[in-house]
Amino acid sequence: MKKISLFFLVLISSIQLYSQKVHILSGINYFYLSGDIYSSTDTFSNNFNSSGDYGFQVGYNIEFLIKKNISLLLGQEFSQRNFKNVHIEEESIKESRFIYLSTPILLNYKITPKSTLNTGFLLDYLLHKQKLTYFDPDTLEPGLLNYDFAFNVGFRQRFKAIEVCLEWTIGFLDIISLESENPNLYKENSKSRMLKLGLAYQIE
Amino acid sequence: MNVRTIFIIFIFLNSGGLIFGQSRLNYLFYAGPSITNIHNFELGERQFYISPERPYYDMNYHVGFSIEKAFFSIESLKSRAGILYERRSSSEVAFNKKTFLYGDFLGISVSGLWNPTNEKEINIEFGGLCHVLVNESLGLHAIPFRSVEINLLSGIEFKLISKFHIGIRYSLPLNYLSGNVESTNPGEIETKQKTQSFQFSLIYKIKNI
Repeated sequence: MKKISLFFLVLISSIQLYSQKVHILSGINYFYLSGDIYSSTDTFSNNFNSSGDYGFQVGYNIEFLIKKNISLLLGQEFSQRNFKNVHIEEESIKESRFIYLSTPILLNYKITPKSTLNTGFLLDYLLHKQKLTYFDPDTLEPGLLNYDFAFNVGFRQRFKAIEVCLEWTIGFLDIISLESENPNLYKENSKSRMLKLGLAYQIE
Repeated sequence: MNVRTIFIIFIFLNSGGLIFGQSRLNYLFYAGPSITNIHNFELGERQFYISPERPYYDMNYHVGFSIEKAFFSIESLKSRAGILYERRSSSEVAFNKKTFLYGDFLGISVSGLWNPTNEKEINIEFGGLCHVLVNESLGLHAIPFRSVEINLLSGIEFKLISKFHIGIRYSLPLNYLSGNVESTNPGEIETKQKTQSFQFSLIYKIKNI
């Protein structure tokens, strides 16, 4: 137990060496699914078209200054991501929604005193979804991942205490993965894509 | 190392901070609205039912009391332990429209708080909450005083004015509500349930007693 306590103390004191800044974030996003839908039996893939929609995110992050121009961003965001399934013939739109708890791990590089580039990863955990169901009732195979792992690249421009953030997120995992017993009949694999525009207010 | 071991280590470390720390205690009373949901899981997937459409998020409340102390006398780190009463529910048709599932929970929370700034009073919180169901509605497949959830807690707090703070906290259950009624039909897909909650708290903090 002493070793564990010592480990925590060393970890804590090492964190104290760096100076930190706290940012409160909010903004809008445009989310869509990118992937393949194959269907041979009916007109599903011809009649259905998945398109993106706008959502929002809110959260905070902490910036750890590592060197003069380099910092590490860690934080938490709640991200509502919407998308649409449009039935072309019936002209009906079914709006769908994912809500994720998102943990960004980003490396910031200051290119000018007021401009930074960042790149890194997002770890997403699904908190809520509506209105589609993704498991196959015949094979009883789950078709939707409860988590996602994504690459993130972005740009931030500072205006006094506020930064304007523009970020592009590319999911690595097939968050939707459906396949009929005979894969020649129906198959779907979709990854997440998201463009984020937001404001970050620096508290200190 | 399983979840229970991590939880026990955390409680031990936390109580170490509370007992052996040199600084004085802070007492916190907090209450506020919670945005909650109760999801059904089938084959590991959160379900959303169509007719009627459910579950949507619902507005509820929570109230709690905690004791806080500097963690090993480091002022930017604090340990906190307390009790929390909360109602969690989900609604039908739309947000906060009609409550159809609810449960009242009484729990013990332990957490660590870190102030990453040197000047402002902002705390980042991580910890755990273990709560037991004390009252339930029809449709919640759980048994009062036997159904337990262990939650991860994370949140952020700001000083508002004088002794008042505001806090936003999220609790994410690690396990399904224990005591779920198991399906008796062999072909039927088993349904399990998990709650979740976003707590928006007004905190009254009495310092250095």
